[in-house]
Amino acid sequence: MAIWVAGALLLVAYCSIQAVSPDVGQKGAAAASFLKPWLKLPGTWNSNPADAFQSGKPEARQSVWPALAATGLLLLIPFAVASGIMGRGSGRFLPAFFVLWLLAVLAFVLSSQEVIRQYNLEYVLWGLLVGMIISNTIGTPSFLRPALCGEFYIKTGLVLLGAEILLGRLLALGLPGICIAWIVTPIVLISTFLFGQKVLKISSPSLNMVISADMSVCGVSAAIATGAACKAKKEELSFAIGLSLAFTAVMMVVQPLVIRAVGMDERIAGAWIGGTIDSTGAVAAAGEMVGPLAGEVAVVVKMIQNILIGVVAFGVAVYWTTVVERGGSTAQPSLMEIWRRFPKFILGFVAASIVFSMLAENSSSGAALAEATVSVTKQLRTWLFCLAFVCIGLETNFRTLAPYFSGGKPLVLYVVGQSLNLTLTLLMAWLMFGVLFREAVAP
Amino acid sequence: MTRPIAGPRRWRNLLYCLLAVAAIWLGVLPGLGRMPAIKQHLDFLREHHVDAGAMFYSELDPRLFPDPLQKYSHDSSHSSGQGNP
Repeated sequence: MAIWVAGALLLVAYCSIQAVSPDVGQKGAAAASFLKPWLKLPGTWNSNPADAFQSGKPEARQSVWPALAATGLLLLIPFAVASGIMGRGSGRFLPAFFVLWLLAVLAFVLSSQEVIRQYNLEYVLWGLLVGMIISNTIGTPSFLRPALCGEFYIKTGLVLLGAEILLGRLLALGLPGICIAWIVTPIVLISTFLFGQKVLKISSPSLNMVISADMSVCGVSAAIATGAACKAKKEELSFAIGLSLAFTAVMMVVQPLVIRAVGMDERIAGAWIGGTIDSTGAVAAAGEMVGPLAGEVAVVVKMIQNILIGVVAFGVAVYWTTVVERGGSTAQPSLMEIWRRFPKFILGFVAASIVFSMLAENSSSGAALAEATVSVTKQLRTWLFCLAFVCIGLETNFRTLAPYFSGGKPLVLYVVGQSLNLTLTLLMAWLMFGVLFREAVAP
Repeated sequence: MTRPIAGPRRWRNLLYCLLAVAAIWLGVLPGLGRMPAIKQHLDFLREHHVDAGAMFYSELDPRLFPDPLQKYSHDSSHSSGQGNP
Protein backbone atom coordinates (compact mmCIF):
# COMPACT_ATOMS: atom_id res chain seq x y z
CA MET A 1 0.00 0.00 0.00
CA ALA A 2 2.91 2.38 0.75
CA ILE A 3 4.10 1.96 -2.84
CA TRP A 4 0.66 2.86 -4.19
CA VAL A 5 0.30 5.95 -2.01
CA ALA A 6 3.84 7.12 -2.81
CA GLY A 7 3.26 6.40 -6.50
CA ALA A 8 0.10 8.52 -6.42
CA LEU A 9 1.95 11.37 -4.72
CA LEU A 10 4.80 11.17 -7.24
CA LEU A 11 2.30 11.23 -10.08
CA VAL A 12 0.50 14.25 -8.63
CA ALA A 13 3.84 16.04 -8.19
CA TYR A 14 4.88 15.18 -11.75
CA CYS A 15 1.56 16.27 -13.28
CA SER A 16 1.61 19.53 -11.34
CA ILE A 17 4.77 20.48 -13.24
CA GLN A 18 3.62 19.75 -16.75
CA ALA A 19 0.46 21.74 -16.19
CA VAL A 20 2.34 25.01 -15.66
CA SER A 21 5.52 24.68 -17.70
CA PRO A 22 4.82 24.72 -21.44
CA ASP A 23 8.48 25.41 -22.21
CA VAL A 24 9.60 22.06 -20.78
CA GLY A 25 11.55 20.25 -23.44
CA GLN A 26 13.61 23.16 -24.66
CA LYS A 27 17.33 23.30 -24.05
CA GLY A 28 18.15 24.54 -20.60
CA ALA A 29 14.57 24.04 -19.57
CA ALA A 30 13.48 25.03 -16.11
CA ALA A 31 10.43 23.51 -14.55
CA ALA A 32 8.31 24.45 -11.59
CA SER A 33 5.34 22.96 -9.85
CA PHE A 34 2.25 24.99 -8.98
CA LEU A 35 2.08 22.91 -5.80
CA LYS A 36 5.45 24.04 -4.49
CA PRO A 37 4.31 27.37 -2.97
CA TRP A 38 1.61 25.38 -1.18
CA LEU A 39 4.02 22.95 0.46
CA LYS A 40 5.91 24.54 3.31
CA LEU A 41 7.35 23.85 6.71
CA PRO A 42 7.43 26.26 9.65
CA GLY A 43 10.37 28.63 9.22
CA THR A 44 13.37 29.32 11.43
CA TRP A 45 12.84 31.42 14.55
CA ASN A 46 15.00 32.63 17.39
CA SER A 47 13.05 33.91 20.39
CA ASN A 48 9.48 34.24 19.12
CA PRO A 49 7.87 31.00 17.85
CA ALA A 50 5.25 33.06 15.96
CA ASP A 51 8.04 33.93 13.49
CA ALA A 52 7.98 30.28 12.38
CA PHE A 53 4.58 30.90 10.81
CA GLN A 54 5.67 33.83 8.67
CA SER A 55 7.67 33.63 5.46
CA GLY A 56 9.04 36.04 2.89
CA LYS A 57 10.90 39.32 3.12
CA PRO A 58 10.30 41.53 6.18
CA GLU A 59 8.33 44.06 4.11
CA ALA A 60 6.01 41.39 2.67
CA ARG A 61 5.54 38.75 5.33
CA GLN A 62 3.02 36.03 4.58
CA SER A 63 1.42 33.47 6.83
CA VAL A 64 2.50 29.88 6.18
CA TRP A 65 -0.67 28.44 7.75
CA PRO A 66 -2.47 28.09 4.39
CA ALA A 67 0.51 26.17 3.02
CA LEU A 68 0.72 23.99 6.14
CA ALA A 69 -3.00 23.24 5.79
CA ALA A 70 -2.62 22.46 2.09
CA THR A 71 0.22 20.04 2.81
CA GLY A 72 -1.86 18.34 5.46
CA LEU A 73 -4.76 18.05 3.02
CA LEU A 74 -2.57 16.64 0.25
CA LEU A 75 -1.38 13.92 2.64
CA LEU A 76 -4.75 13.37 4.25
CA ILE A 77 -6.55 12.42 1.02
CA PRO A 78 -4.42 9.41 -0.05
CA PHE A 79 -3.98 8.16 3.50
CA ALA A 80 -7.70 8.45 4.27
CA VAL A 81 -8.45 6.49 1.09
CA ALA A 82 -5.80 3.89 1.99
CA SER A 83 -7.23 3.68 5.50
CA GLY A 84 -10.67 2.96 4.02
CA ILE A 85 -9.25 0.32 1.67
CA MET A 86 -7.43 -1.37 4.57
CA GLY A 87 -10.68 -1.51 6.51
CA ARG A 88 -9.76 1.00 9.22
CA GLY A 89 -12.51 3.42 8.27
CA SER A 90 -11.85 6.82 6.70
CA GLY A 91 -14.34 8.63 8.96
CA ARG A 92 -12.43 7.99 12.16
CA PHE A 93 -9.14 8.62 10.37
CA LEU A 94 -9.91 12.32 9.64
CA PRO A 95 -10.03 13.76 13.19
CA ALA A 96 -7.13 11.52 14.28
CA PHE A 97 -4.99 12.69 11.37
CA PHE A 98 -5.85 16.33 12.09
CA VAL A 99 -4.53 16.07 15.66
CA LEU A 100 -1.47 14.19 14.45
CA TRP A 101 -0.85 16.94 11.90
CA LEU A 102 -1.05 19.59 14.66
CA LEU A 103 1.48 17.64 16.74
CA ALA A 104 3.77 17.42 13.69
CA VAL A 105 3.51 21.21 13.27
CA LEU A 106 4.56 21.56 16.92
CA ALA A 107 7.53 19.21 16.34
CA PHE A 108 8.62 21.27 13.32
CA VAL A 109 8.38 24.48 15.34
CA LEU A 110 10.57 22.99 18.08
CA SER A 111 13.10 21.80 15.49
CA SER A 112 13.25 25.13 13.66
CA GLN A 113 14.47 27.13 16.65
CA GLU A 114 17.73 28.55 15.31
CA VAL A 115 20.15 27.05 17.87
CA ILE A 116 18.47 23.64 17.70
CA ARG A 117 18.49 23.65 13.90
CA GLN A 118 22.09 24.71 13.46
CA TYR A 119 23.29 21.98 15.80
CA ASN A 120 21.53 19.39 13.65
CA LEU A 121 18.97 18.26 16.21
CA GLU A 122 16.52 17.18 13.54
CA TYR A 123 12.72 17.24 13.60
CA VAL A 124 12.44 13.47 14.05
CA LEU A 125 13.84 13.86 17.56
CA TRP A 126 11.23 16.49 18.45
CA GLY A 127 8.46 14.46 16.83
CA LEU A 128 9.41 11.66 19.20
CA LEU A 129 9.54 14.04 22.16
CA VAL A 130 6.10 15.52 21.43
CA GLY A 131 4.59 12.04 21.10
CA MET A 132 6.34 10.68 24.18
CA ILE A 133 5.30 13.61 26.38
CA ILE A 134 1.68 12.84 25.60
CA SER A 135 1.92 9.06 25.84
CA ASN A 136 3.86 9.17 29.11
CA THR A 137 1.70 11.75 30.86
CA ILE A 138 -1.99 11.74 29.92
CA GLY A 139 -1.67 8.61 27.78
CA THR A 140 -2.35 8.41 24.06
CA PRO A 141 -6.05 9.10 23.47
CA SER A 142 -7.76 6.14 21.82
CA PHE A 143 -9.39 8.35 19.15
CA LEU A 144 -5.89 8.87 17.69
CA ARG A 145 -5.44 5.16 17.03
CA PRO A 146 -6.79 5.14 13.42
CA ALA A 147 -4.03 7.55 12.30
CA LEU A 148 -1.22 5.92 14.31
CA CYS A 149 0.45 4.10 11.43
CA GLY A 150 4.06 5.20 11.73
CA GLU A 151 5.41 2.30 9.71
CA PHE A 152 3.06 3.17 6.83
CA TYR A 153 4.19 6.83 6.84
CA ILE A 154 7.86 5.77 6.97
CA LYS A 155 7.56 3.33 4.08
CA THR A 156 5.67 5.86 1.95
CA GLY A 157 8.26 8.51 2.79
CA LEU A 158 11.06 6.12 1.86
CA VAL A 159 9.57 5.42 -1.57
CA LEU A 160 9.40 9.21 -2.09
CA LEU A 161 13.01 9.44 -0.89
CA GLY A 162 13.94 6.96 -3.62
CA ALA A 163 13.07 9.64 -6.21
CA GLU A 164 15.75 11.88 -4.64
CA ILE A 165 18.46 9.26 -5.12
CA LEU A 166 19.76 10.21 -8.54
CA LEU A 167 22.35 7.59 -9.45
CA GLY A 168 24.07 9.83 -12.02
CA ARG A 169 25.41 11.95 -9.19
CA LEU A 170 27.51 9.04 -8.00
CA LEU A 171 30.25 10.16 -10.32
CA ALA A 172 30.15 13.79 -9.24
CA LEU A 173 33.59 13.56 -7.68
CA GLY A 174 34.98 10.91 -10.02
CA LEU A 175 37.02 7.99 -8.73
CA PRO A 176 38.17 9.64 -5.46
CA GLY A 177 34.55 10.15 -4.41
CA ILE A 178 33.61 6.57 -5.25
CA CYS A 179 36.57 5.19 -3.31
CA ILE A 180 35.88 7.30 -0.22
CA ALA A 181 32.12 6.81 -0.11
CA TRP A 182 31.68 3.40 -1.71
CA ILE A 183 34.67 1.41 -0.49
CA VAL A 184 35.16 2.68 3.04
CA THR A 185 31.44 2.94 3.90
CA PRO A 186 30.51 -0.72 3.18
CA ILE A 187 33.69 -1.91 4.94
CA VAL A 188 32.83 0.11 8.05
CA LEU A 189 29.16 -0.94 7.92
CA ILE A 190 29.91 -4.67 7.68
CA SER A 191 32.81 -4.57 10.18
CA THR A 192 30.74 -2.69 12.75
CA PHE A 193 27.80 -5.06 12.34
CA LEU A 194 30.08 -8.10 12.72
CA PHE A 195 31.80 -6.51 15.73
CA GLY A 196 28.41 -6.00 17.36
CA GLN A 197 27.32 -9.56 16.67
CA LYS A 198 30.53 -11.51 17.28
CA VAL A 199 32.40 -9.46 19.89
CA LEU A 200 29.80 -7.42 21.78
CA LYS A 201 27.14 -10.10 21.21
CA ILE A 202 24.35 -7.53 20.95
CA SER A 203 21.17 -9.54 21.32
CA SER A 204 19.19 -7.64 18.69
CA PRO A 205 20.71 -7.86 15.18
CA SER A 206 18.31 -5.17 13.96
CA LEU A 207 19.48 -2.67 16.60
CA ASN A 208 23.06 -3.57 15.68
CA MET A 209 22.34 -2.99 11.98
CA VAL A 210 20.51 0.32 12.44
CA ILE A 211 23.33 1.77 14.59
CA SER A 212 25.96 0.47 12.14
CA ALA A 213 24.10 2.01 9.17
CA ASP A 214 23.36 5.41 10.66
CA MET A 215 26.96 5.70 11.86
CA SER A 216 28.61 4.57 8.61
CA VAL A 217 26.24 5.85 5.90
CA CYS A 218 24.28 9.04 6.48
CA GLY A 219 22.65 9.33 9.87
CA VAL A 220 18.89 9.58 10.32
CA SER A 221 17.89 8.84 6.71
CA ALA A 222 20.03 5.69 6.66
CA ALA A 223 18.67 4.63 10.05
CA ILE A 224 15.09 5.01 8.82
CA ALA A 225 15.78 3.13 5.57
CA THR A 226 17.73 0.23 7.10
CA GLY A 227 15.42 0.10 10.13
CA ALA A 228 12.48 -0.47 7.80
CA ALA A 229 14.47 -2.96 5.71
CA CYS A 230 15.42 -5.12 8.72
CA LYS A 231 12.12 -4.58 10.52
CA ALA A 232 13.74 -2.94 13.55
CA LYS A 233 11.53 -2.19 16.54
CA LYS A 234 10.41 1.43 16.90
CA GLU A 235 12.38 1.75 20.15
CA GLU A 236 15.53 0.53 18.38
CA LEU A 237 15.09 3.09 15.62
CA SER A 238 14.45 5.88 18.14
CA PHE A 239 17.49 4.91 20.20
CA ALA A 240 19.81 4.67 17.18
CA ILE A 241 18.68 8.07 15.88
CA GLY A 242 19.15 9.70 19.29
CA LEU A 243 22.66 8.22 19.53
CA SER A 244 23.57 9.41 16.03
CA LEU A 245 22.26 12.96 16.55
CA ALA A 246 24.06 13.29 19.89
CA PHE A 247 27.42 12.30 18.37
CA THR A 248 26.80 14.40 15.25
CA ALA A 249 26.23 17.56 17.33
CA VAL A 250 29.64 16.99 18.96
CA MET A 251 31.54 15.92 15.83
CA MET A 252 30.35 18.85 13.71
CA VAL A 253 32.03 21.22 16.18
CA VAL A 254 35.10 19.22 17.21
CA GLN A 255 36.22 17.83 13.83
CA PRO A 256 36.75 21.26 12.16
CA LEU A 257 38.72 22.38 15.24
CA VAL A 258 41.00 19.33 15.00
CA ILE A 259 41.43 19.87 11.24
CA ARG A 260 42.38 23.52 11.72
CA ALA A 261 44.70 22.65 14.60
CA VAL A 262 46.70 20.18 12.49
CA GLY A 263 46.54 22.32 9.31
CA MET A 264 45.06 19.58 7.15
CA ASP A 265 44.72 20.06 3.39
CA GLU A 266 41.19 21.32 2.62
CA ARG A 267 40.41 18.59 0.09
CA ILE A 268 41.44 15.82 2.47
CA ALA A 269 39.58 17.56 5.30
CA GLY A 270 36.42 17.91 3.23
CA ALA A 271 36.49 14.26 2.21
CA TRP A 272 37.14 13.21 5.82
CA ILE A 273 34.22 15.28 7.10
CA GLY A 274 31.90 14.14 4.29
CA GLY A 275 32.70 10.50 4.89
CA THR A 276 32.47 10.47 8.68
CA ILE A 277 29.95 12.94 10.10
CA ASP A 278 26.60 11.16 10.01
CA SER A 279 24.18 13.86 9.05
CA THR A 280 24.13 15.75 5.75
CA GLY A 281 23.37 19.18 7.20
CA ALA A 282 26.08 18.78 9.82
CA VAL A 283 28.58 17.84 7.09
CA ALA A 284 27.78 21.07 5.22
CA ALA A 285 28.21 23.12 8.39
CA ALA A 286 31.48 21.46 9.45
CA GLY A 287 32.91 21.64 5.91
CA GLU A 288 32.16 25.35 5.60
CA MET A 289 33.80 25.96 8.97
CA VAL A 290 37.05 24.58 7.54
CA GLY A 291 36.86 26.50 4.27
CA PRO A 292 34.93 26.82 0.99
CA LEU A 293 36.86 24.07 -0.80
CA ALA A 294 36.48 21.69 2.14
CA GLY A 295 32.78 22.56 2.22
CA GLU A 296 32.28 21.70 -1.44
CA VAL A 297 34.21 18.42 -1.26
CA ALA A 298 32.41 17.48 1.98
CA VAL A 299 28.88 17.98 0.60
CA VAL A 300 29.69 16.09 -2.61
CA VAL A 301 31.17 13.13 -0.68
CA LYS A 302 28.11 13.11 1.58
CA MET A 303 25.81 13.30 -1.46
CA ILE A 304 27.51 10.21 -2.91
CA GLN A 305 27.08 8.49 0.46
CA ASN A 306 23.40 9.54 0.53
CA ILE A 307 22.92 7.74 -2.78
CA LEU A 308 24.40 4.61 -1.18
CA ILE A 309 21.39 4.19 1.09
CA GLY A 310 19.33 2.69 -1.73
CA VAL A 311 21.88 -0.09 -2.18
CA VAL A 312 22.34 -0.53 1.57
CA ALA A 313 18.61 -0.78 2.26
CA PHE A 314 18.18 -3.29 -0.56
CA GLY A 315 21.20 -5.34 0.60
CA VAL A 316 20.00 -5.34 4.21
CA ALA A 317 16.49 -6.45 3.15
CA VAL A 318 17.95 -9.34 1.11
CA TYR A 319 20.33 -10.36 3.93
CA TRP A 320 17.53 -10.24 6.50
CA THR A 321 15.07 -12.28 4.48
CA THR A 322 17.61 -14.89 3.37
CA VAL A 323 19.91 -15.19 6.40
CA VAL A 324 18.79 -13.52 9.63
CA GLU A 325 15.11 -14.54 9.51
CA ARG A 326 16.15 -18.11 8.68
CA GLY A 327 17.41 -18.35 12.27
CA GLY A 328 19.42 -21.46 13.03
CA SER A 329 17.91 -23.45 10.18
CA THR A 330 20.39 -24.74 7.61
CA ALA A 331 17.73 -25.26 4.94
CA GLN A 332 17.60 -22.63 2.21
CA PRO A 333 14.24 -20.82 2.20
CA SER A 334 12.28 -21.16 -1.01
CA LEU A 335 11.96 -18.24 -3.40
CA MET A 336 8.29 -17.94 -2.47
CA GLU A 337 9.24 -17.73 1.20
CA ILE A 338 11.87 -15.07 0.49
CA TRP A 339 9.32 -13.10 -1.53
CA ARG A 340 6.77 -13.37 1.29
CA ARG A 341 9.25 -12.06 3.86
CA PHE A 342 10.80 -9.40 1.63
CA PRO A 343 9.75 -5.83 2.52
CA LYS A 344 8.06 -4.87 -0.75
CA PHE A 345 8.36 -1.12 -0.26
CA ILE A 346 12.12 -1.52 -0.89
CA LEU A 347 11.24 -2.40 -4.47
CA GLY A 348 9.27 0.84 -4.76
CA PHE A 349 12.19 2.71 -3.19
CA VAL A 350 14.66 1.25 -5.74
CA ALA A 351 12.23 1.65 -8.66
CA ALA A 352 11.64 5.34 -7.85
CA SER A 353 15.40 5.87 -7.77
CA ILE A 354 15.92 4.14 -11.13
CA VAL A 355 13.01 5.91 -12.87
CA PHE A 356 14.02 9.38 -11.69
CA SER A 357 17.72 8.72 -12.36
CA MET A 358 16.85 7.78 -15.95
CA LEU A 359 14.62 10.83 -16.28
CA ALA A 360 17.36 13.12 -14.95
CA GLU A 361 20.01 11.63 -17.24
CA ASN A 362 17.78 11.62 -20.30
CA SER A 363 17.97 15.30 -21.24
CA SER A 364 18.10 18.76 -19.77
CA SER A 365 14.30 18.89 -19.68
CA GLY A 366 14.25 15.50 -17.97
CA ALA A 367 16.65 16.78 -15.33
CA ALA A 368 14.46 19.85 -14.83
CA LEU A 369 11.34 17.69 -14.50
CA ALA A 370 13.02 15.36 -12.01
CA GLU A 371 14.26 18.30 -9.97
CA ALA A 372 10.86 20.01 -9.93
CA THR A 373 9.08 16.77 -8.96
CA VAL A 374 11.52 16.16 -6.15
CA SER A 375 11.10 19.74 -4.91
CA VAL A 376 7.48 18.77 -4.18
CA THR A 377 7.97 15.24 -2.91
CA LYS A 378 10.83 16.07 -0.56
CA GLN A 379 8.46 18.35 1.40
CA LEU A 380 5.88 15.56 1.57
CA ARG A 381 8.58 13.07 2.59
CA THR A 382 9.72 15.39 5.38
CA TRP A 383 6.14 15.64 6.65
CA LEU A 384 5.69 11.88 6.48
CA PHE A 385 8.83 11.20 8.51
CA CYS A 386 7.74 13.76 11.09
CA LEU A 387 4.24 12.24 11.32
CA ALA A 388 5.85 8.80 11.65
CA PHE A 389 8.04 9.85 14.56
CA VAL A 390 5.15 11.57 16.34
CA CYS A 391 3.32 8.21 16.00
CA ILE A 392 6.34 6.33 17.34
CA GLY A 393 6.50 8.72 20.29
CA LEU A 394 2.78 8.27 20.95
CA GLU A 395 3.32 4.50 21.09
CA THR A 396 6.50 4.54 23.18
CA ASN A 397 6.78 4.27 26.91
CA PHE A 398 9.95 5.67 28.53
CA ARG A 399 10.36 2.34 30.32
CA THR A 400 10.65 0.42 27.05
CA LEU A 401 13.68 2.55 26.13
CA ALA A 402 15.47 1.94 29.41
CA PRO A 403 16.99 -1.47 28.47
CA TYR A 404 18.84 0.16 25.54
CA PHE A 405 20.73 2.43 27.92
CA SER A 406 21.83 -0.35 30.25
CA GLY A 407 25.07 -2.22 29.66
CA GLY A 408 26.37 0.38 27.25
CA LYS A 409 26.92 -2.06 24.38
CA PRO A 410 25.22 0.14 21.73
CA LEU A 411 27.37 3.06 22.85
CA VAL A 412 30.55 0.96 22.58
CA LEU A 413 29.40 -0.23 19.15
CA TYR A 414 28.94 3.34 17.95
CA VAL A 415 32.26 4.57 19.36
CA VAL A 416 34.28 1.64 17.98
CA GLY A 417 32.54 1.81 14.59
CA GLN A 418 33.00 5.57 14.33
CA SER A 419 36.70 5.26 15.31
CA LEU A 420 37.20 2.75 12.49
CA ASN A 421 35.25 5.06 10.16
CA LEU A 422 37.41 8.08 11.11
CA THR A 423 40.64 6.12 10.59
CA LEU A 424 39.77 4.42 7.29
CA THR A 425 38.15 7.52 5.77
CA LEU A 426 41.14 9.69 6.67
CA LEU A 427 43.47 7.10 5.16
CA MET A 428 41.42 6.88 1.96
CA ALA A 429 41.01 10.67 1.72
CA TRP A 430 44.78 11.10 2.04
CA LEU A 431 45.43 8.34 -0.50
CA MET A 432 42.98 9.84 -3.00
CA PHE A 433 43.55 13.57 -2.63
CA GLY A 434 47.05 13.54 -1.18
CA VAL A 435 48.69 10.86 -3.35
CA LEU A 436 46.77 9.46 -6.34
CA PHE A 437 44.61 12.40 -7.46
CA ARG A 438 46.49 15.41 -6.18
CA GLU A 439 45.35 17.53 -9.13
CA ALA A 440 41.77 16.25 -9.21
CA VAL A 441 40.40 19.17 -7.24
CA ALA A 442 42.11 22.45 -7.90
CA PRO A 443 42.29 24.68 -4.81
CA MET B 1 -0.37 2.38 23.30
CA THR B 2 0.59 3.36 26.83
CA ARG B 3 -1.79 3.08 29.75
CA PRO B 4 -2.90 6.46 31.11
CA ILE B 5 -1.90 7.35 34.65
CA ALA B 6 -4.96 7.61 36.84
CA GLY B 7 -6.35 10.87 38.18
CA PRO B 8 -5.45 14.53 37.75
CA ARG B 9 -1.76 13.67 38.25
CA ARG B 10 -1.42 12.89 34.56
CA TRP B 11 -2.58 16.36 33.56
CA ARG B 12 -0.23 17.88 36.12
CA ASN B 13 2.64 15.86 34.63
CA LEU B 14 1.72 17.08 31.16
CA LEU B 15 1.69 20.66 32.41
CA TYR B 16 5.16 20.23 33.99
CA CYS B 17 6.52 18.83 30.71
CA LEU B 18 5.00 21.68 28.69
CA LEU B 19 6.42 24.24 31.13
CA ALA B 20 9.86 22.64 30.83
CA VAL B 21 9.67 22.70 27.03
CA ALA B 22 8.50 26.33 27.08
CA ALA B 23 11.30 27.33 29.47
CA ILE B 24 13.95 25.70 27.29
CA TRP B 25 12.65 26.90 23.92
CA LEU B 26 11.58 30.40 24.98
CA GLY B 27 14.26 31.09 27.59
CA VAL B 28 17.37 28.92 27.47
CA LEU B 29 17.79 28.50 23.70
CA PRO B 30 17.25 32.17 22.76
CA GLY B 31 19.69 33.01 25.58
CA LEU B 32 22.27 30.61 24.13
CA GLY B 33 21.69 32.12 20.71
CA ARG B 34 22.66 35.53 22.07
CA MET B 35 26.02 34.29 23.43
CA PRO B 36 28.79 35.79 21.24
CA ALA B 37 30.42 32.49 20.24
CA ILE B 38 27.15 30.80 19.30
CA LYS B 39 25.75 33.94 17.65
CA GLN B 40 28.90 34.16 15.54
CA HIS B 41 28.51 30.50 14.55
CA LEU B 42 24.84 30.98 13.62
CA ASP B 43 25.63 34.14 11.61
CA PHE B 44 28.44 32.32 9.81
CA LEU B 45 26.17 29.45 8.80
CA ARG B 46 23.41 31.84 7.70
CA GLU B 47 25.85 33.87 5.56
CA HIS B 48 27.08 30.67 3.93
CA HIS B 49 23.53 29.40 3.23
CA VAL B 50 24.12 26.29 5.37
CA ASP B 51 21.10 24.53 6.84
CA ALA B 52 22.70 22.23 9.38
CA GLY B 53 19.31 20.62 9.99
CA ALA B 54 19.18 19.07 6.51
CA MET B 55 18.62 15.31 6.53
CA PHE B 56 19.42 14.58 2.87
CA TYR B 57 21.54 16.26 0.20
CA SER B 58 18.43 17.37 -1.70
CA GLU B 59 17.52 19.59 1.27
CA LEU B 60 20.75 21.59 1.10
CA ASP B 61 20.99 24.95 -0.65
CA PRO B 62 22.21 24.27 -4.23
CA ARG B 63 24.76 27.07 -3.77
CA LEU B 64 26.76 24.78 -1.49
CA PHE B 65 27.52 22.43 -4.34
CA PRO B 66 30.30 23.10 -6.82
CA ASP B 67 29.04 24.31 -10.17
CA PRO B 68 29.74 22.61 -12.40
CA LEU B 69 30.56 19.41 -10.54
CA GLN B 70 32.78 18.35 -13.42
CA LYS B 71 35.66 20.40 -12.09
CA TYR B 72 35.93 17.85 -9.32
CA SER B 73 35.95 14.90 -11.64
CA HIS B 74 39.31 13.36 -12.48
CA ASP B 75 37.97 12.41 -15.88
CA SER B 76 35.31 14.80 -17.12
CA SER B 77 33.81 12.14 -19.39
CA HIS B 78 32.75 10.27 -16.26
CA SER B 79 30.91 13.21 -14.83
CA SER B 80 27.15 13.27 -14.60
CA GLY B 81 27.04 16.89 -15.63
CA GLN B 82 24.13 17.45 -13.35
CA GLY B 83 25.52 20.42 -11.50
CA ASN B 84 23.39 21.40 -8.62
CA PRO B 85 20.87 19.07 -7.09
